[in-house]
Amino acid sequence: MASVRIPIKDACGDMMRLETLRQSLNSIPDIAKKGLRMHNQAKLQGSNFLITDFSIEVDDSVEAAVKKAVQSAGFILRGTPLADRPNVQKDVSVLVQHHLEDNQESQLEYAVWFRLEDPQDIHLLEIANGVLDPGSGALEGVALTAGSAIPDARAIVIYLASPTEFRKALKVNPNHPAVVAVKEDNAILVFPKGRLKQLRDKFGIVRL
Amino acid sequence: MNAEDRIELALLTRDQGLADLLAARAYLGSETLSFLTTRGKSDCAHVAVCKCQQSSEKVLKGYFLFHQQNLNPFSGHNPLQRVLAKSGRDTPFLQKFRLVIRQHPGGFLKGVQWLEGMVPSPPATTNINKLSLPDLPMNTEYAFWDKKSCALTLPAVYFRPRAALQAVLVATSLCKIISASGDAIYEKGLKDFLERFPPGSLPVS
Repeated sequence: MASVRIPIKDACGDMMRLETLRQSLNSIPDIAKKGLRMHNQAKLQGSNFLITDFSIEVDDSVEAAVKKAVQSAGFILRGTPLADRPNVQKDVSVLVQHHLEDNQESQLEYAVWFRLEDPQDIHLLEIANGVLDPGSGALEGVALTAGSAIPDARAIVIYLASPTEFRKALKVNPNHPAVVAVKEDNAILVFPKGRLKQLRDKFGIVRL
Repeated sequence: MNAEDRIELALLTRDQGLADLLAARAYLGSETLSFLTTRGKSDCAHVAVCKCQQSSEKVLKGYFLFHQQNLNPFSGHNPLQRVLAKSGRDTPFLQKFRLVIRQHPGGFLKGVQWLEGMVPSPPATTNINKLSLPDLPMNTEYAFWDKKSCALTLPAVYFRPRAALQAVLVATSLCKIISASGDAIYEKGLKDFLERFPPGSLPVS
């Protein structure tokens, strides 16, 4: 039996939070025999602790159960897709609302969050009227530091396109991750709120 | 200027242009650096647009200088418009370049022209007593007349993050097109830059 190390994102909270995690882990059958070791550094921050360098070492036979226990206690596993985190979903929604107000020279028509499996970066296809696009259909992404807009993310990669450019990409760049995600219904339509079907219908895309 | 000096100057002009593009990218997403002006909330998008304009200008000027085209790199800020409008006998190099640019689809050409139009230029009259506010042209550095809102505005408020993104896309596309136009050391430097700093990744040295 080999042991695995499960890395957990830094977290802030009181000692009750760690206690909740302990209880959650203790509910796993035979956990006492599975070589569980918790590693972390706790730094006092006001009345709370900042828990850093956080990981759990455990027998690989219970890896899935431990991961589930960690998440049910409100901690986030490193490597968890950003799209699976409720706080990130909210942040992305707020970000796109800000982008909607950015209508000086172009107007946002659609915002699609794709590559949902990415644990580090947010990938947003933004289709906007009035954008002077490169015309190649390349759907080039441009990375921005996520900063305080989305604290959990490293970068926001925006793939800016006019409707014409997106139509071109559908033809000349059918394997682009954004195009594939829209076809496979593996993306989130952040704006307008709704289902990807409306985007597919608008651009005549057939679902795979 | 001898050939060796000309090539060195061309390559340095290119490199400064690429440094400008990298600087533009660094300003993307820095909307937290803002303050409330008398015309609204400012951010850094105008800096990104400005640096992209400077990048395109230098990358083009360096390119023409490297390939011995008769364009003084120290005059004017709109090399593309000058080349496209140039009449008379063209060199084969310029003929080919014009063809490549004009055949490029979509909004690319408009995009470069939009960037070149961002350079601060004096209004039609410089007599302050005869000057009216609508004479102040759009640019990235000084207050100008916004035709849409019919009001005086300032670049730090007018330019929003999407304009900055558009500027980065246009400046990057220009680098790509030039890098694909040949195998000389000038074009190779552009290719190397684009490989080292792909737009989809954060620019980290």
